[in-house]
Amino acid sequence: MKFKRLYNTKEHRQEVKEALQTGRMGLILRAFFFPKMARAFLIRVLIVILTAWCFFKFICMPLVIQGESMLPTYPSRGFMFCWAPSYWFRSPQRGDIVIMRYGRGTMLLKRVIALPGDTVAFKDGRLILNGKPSAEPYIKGPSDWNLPERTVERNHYYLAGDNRSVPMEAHVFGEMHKRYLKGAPLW
Amino acid sequence: MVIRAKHIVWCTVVIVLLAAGGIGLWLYLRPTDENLIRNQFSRLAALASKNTKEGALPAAARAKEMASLFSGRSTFAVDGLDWMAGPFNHEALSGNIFRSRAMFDKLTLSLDDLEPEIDAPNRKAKVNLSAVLSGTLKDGKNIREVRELECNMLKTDDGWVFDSFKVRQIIRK
Repeated sequence: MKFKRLYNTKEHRQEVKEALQTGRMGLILRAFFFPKMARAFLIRVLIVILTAWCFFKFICMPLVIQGESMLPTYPSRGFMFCWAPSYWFRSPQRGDIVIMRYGRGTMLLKRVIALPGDTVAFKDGRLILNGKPSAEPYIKGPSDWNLPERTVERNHYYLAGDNRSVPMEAHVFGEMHKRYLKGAPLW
Repeated sequence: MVIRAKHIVWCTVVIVLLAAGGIGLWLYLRPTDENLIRNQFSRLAALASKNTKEGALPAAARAKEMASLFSGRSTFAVDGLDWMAGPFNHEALSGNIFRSRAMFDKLTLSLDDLEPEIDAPNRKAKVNLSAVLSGTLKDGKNIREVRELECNMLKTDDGWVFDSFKVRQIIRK
């Protein structure tokens, strides 16, 4: 193993060499977890911090789920990542689960049930899409939703959670502009 | 000190990074219409927010300053609140703002997702944005309301002013 590039001072090379020669785990662990504050190490730490910040701020955002509107697909208090590149080069389709920005610091996790121009209605808990009942295998519980037909506006997606057992008034669902689309769950 | 090639390389890298940073900062901060519009919204959000108990005089001064960000005939279209339609002049608007802010102990207004569409020849702009109003009312109740706003702005000699607001649910059944 070459350590020439890892440390740029004599003391570091000496420390690592001594640790490997003696085989003492304590010395090896100390050299690994508590290295000397050499310039190269500090630059590497700075690069890692900046890269990680950019990655988790803009590409792969960590989220905690609050609420039961996506049961049983996603449980409340579950952890996930919002993968932003999912919709950089394509648009969501019917059935996709998406994450939408809902004001500062809050995201909505919902399923796309209708696209721009579609007509949407609910009758006795059943989704009526473009005049025809639509199969939704991800819905497990009973539902009694009734909603008159409406047309999804241009550049909007019609979103709803998978947990349709709650009263319709208590469930946050409806059409939302595509500008709030952030990405898709990573799993 | 002996100047080696690596010193020259490091200096060049630092100078290039500083130049790039300077150019980026100038592009970001230069007073384009879009930046001026964004600054107006930032000012509105900052003036609307309050963190501590506020005396009547400072609150009145703040309400007056907020009203000055609007045109002299502002209109508001809010779902279910037709009485708020307006138009309002600066005095009426200032009074409404004062009374509304007085209902809160703490108030935060966040304005995000701004998408300005500027009609430069007609000195107008339309801005779509999202707004989060959160705070604590005098009775201790916490509120957090998220809305989508459509704002029409006019360009005057003193800068951009708000002319009308349409407020609606960000997700609509």
